Amino acid sequence: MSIRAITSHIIGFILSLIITISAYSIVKNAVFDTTSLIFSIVLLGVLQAIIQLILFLHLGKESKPKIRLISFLFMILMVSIIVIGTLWIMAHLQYETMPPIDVNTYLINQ
Amino acid sequence: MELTQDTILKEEHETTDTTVFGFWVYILTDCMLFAGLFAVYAVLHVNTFGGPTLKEITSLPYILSETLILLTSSFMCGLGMIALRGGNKKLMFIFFSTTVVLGSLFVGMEISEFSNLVHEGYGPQKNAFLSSFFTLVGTHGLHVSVGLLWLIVLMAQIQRNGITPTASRRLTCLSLFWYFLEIIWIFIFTFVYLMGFI
Repeated sequence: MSIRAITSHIIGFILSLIITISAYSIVKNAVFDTTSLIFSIVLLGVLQAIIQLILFLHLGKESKPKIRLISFLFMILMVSIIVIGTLWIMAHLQYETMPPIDVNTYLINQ
Repeated sequence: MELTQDTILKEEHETTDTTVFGFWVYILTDCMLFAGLFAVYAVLHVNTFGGPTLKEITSLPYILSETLILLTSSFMCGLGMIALRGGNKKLMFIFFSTTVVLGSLFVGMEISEFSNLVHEGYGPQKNAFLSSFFTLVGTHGLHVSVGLLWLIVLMAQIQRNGITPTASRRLTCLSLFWYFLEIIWIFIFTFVYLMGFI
């Protein structure tokens, strides 16, 4: 059994444990104000995902060509387009589909 | 591609087995599926139609326990794979049995949570927020359940035929699947539950 593999798994597990409990405590005790709170838990979540990707899934540790890493990055690109695009469009739908008469009222209220 | 001792003993990221890479691509497409469900939840989670928000119908400590249980099961799966590569059948069984137990505990807790919500009248048909919530979290739970079934069947196969190159390849694919589910859960925990409690 590879000692290197065992240590990377244990480190990954302990780090994930720490991050999960930190994120939980930060929210439970409302340590920051709302915006910073959102920012910090998203950061912790992404960090934990990266740790697990590298330490459990060994992403990017393969020998050349790094086809797994490349296909993974492509997936990230596609997902970003889908999610950001969806949020952008849905947020603007109300304005884009308004009849012209209401546009005036909307603009006055802005 | 011929399966040799090398295929079993190499780390999963160094294996030249095309099946494992093919499974990796499948996992990426599964991520696309979840991305769509996340996008829907992001748009619809405010549409509670006058009903309660997530904060009022969930308990965060409960979800934290679920998260820790799934994380531990992922760790056990990793140890099981290391035992597999070392050829230690007995240790491998112990670790993977722990994975099954913890995974079943996770699914049981999730079913219990859903069933409570439905009994209180907050089923997926009540409003858009609940529809998207049940779909997203339920799809993940379904993935976990199928993964558990797969793992149990693989354990039975290995019990019967011993550690063959085929079984090793299948276990490699399953471990990839299990890690990926854990990562998806991280995002569910962060963007659904923690966000709901801010």
